[in-house]
Amino acid sequence: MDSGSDQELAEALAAGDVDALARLFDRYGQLAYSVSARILGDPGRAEDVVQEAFLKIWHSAGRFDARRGSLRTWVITVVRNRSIDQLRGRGARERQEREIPPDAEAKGGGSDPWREVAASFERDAILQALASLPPEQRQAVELAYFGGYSHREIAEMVRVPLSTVKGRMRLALEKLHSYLQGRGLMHGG
Amino acid sequence: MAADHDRMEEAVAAYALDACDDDDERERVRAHVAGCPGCRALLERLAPAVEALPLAADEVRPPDLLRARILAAAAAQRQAPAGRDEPAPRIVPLPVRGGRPVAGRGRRRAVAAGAAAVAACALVALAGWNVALQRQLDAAPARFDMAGTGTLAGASGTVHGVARAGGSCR
Repeated sequence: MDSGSDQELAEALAAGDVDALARLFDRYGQLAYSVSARILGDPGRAEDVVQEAFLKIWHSAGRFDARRGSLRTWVITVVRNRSIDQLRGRGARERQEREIPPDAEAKGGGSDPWREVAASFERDAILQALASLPPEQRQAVELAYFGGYSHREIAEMVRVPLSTVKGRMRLALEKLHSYLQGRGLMHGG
Repeated sequence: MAADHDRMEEAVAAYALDACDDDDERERVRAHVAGCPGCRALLERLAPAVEALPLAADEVRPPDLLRARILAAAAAQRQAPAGRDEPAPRIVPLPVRGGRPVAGRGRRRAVAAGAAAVAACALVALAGWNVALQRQLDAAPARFDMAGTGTLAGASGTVHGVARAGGSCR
């Protein structure tokens, strides 16, 4: 599914095509639900979050631009942010600021690196990549991504200097990148 | 300057993970990356790894009804025009009495006031039209000087008054 497909799907969503929303859910619904369930540890709450997230995208689809990021990234970002807001008791204000369609240029990418790779291959690869990290680096990444903690909060939790946490995050992501690139799952860089 | 850069560079990974301390830090890093090729290249390396992290969550199949609920809710809501978000309209149920929805006292007063306003406007408009018509009727009579042509060449005359029953021509 290339950016043309994403843009077409987003345009269909913006035009009020419910079948397009069904296709979006069929593509990313399980991944979204899995992420939310992982963050919240509660399948019931994950259902509510995923429903809210997809309806948010349904209403905002007119703002999507495939040149700036993928639909998958947008869906997962919205789901993750709402899940963490639920988990951490954050309010709607923060959620609104972070749920505009992602600006891939701001985040360093202009395309979805996963678009040509089978999902199961991707999953095995990322699991192996994470398993290959030193425990403290894996912990820093997982606390940040699935726990929604800031680097300062992580430093306090694990009782190490802030600069140490920052370094662990960078090393972990660099290693993940190298591992996945070595497996042919990531473009250039 | 170099110290600022080092601080920002250190924070790029947290930025990629959405783990900055607050919005201020997030914005500072974003602004720095936009103007620093080295940090931008770093972010371009790190961001795709973050995008892969969702796959680390255990696969959990969503309940069958979740898809149906989402689609039903979307079909029931009015789609906002492209490029704009509009909240779904809120439907406030009317109180029910004797099995029928009943407008509250406040609602009846509002309806009556609205009808009275419409009626008043109509009266004003009609009165104004009446005045205009009367002015036309009371205007100084028209006068038309006529000169004959053809077989009536050399003849002349004057017509006074608005043509109405009983008007004259001399």
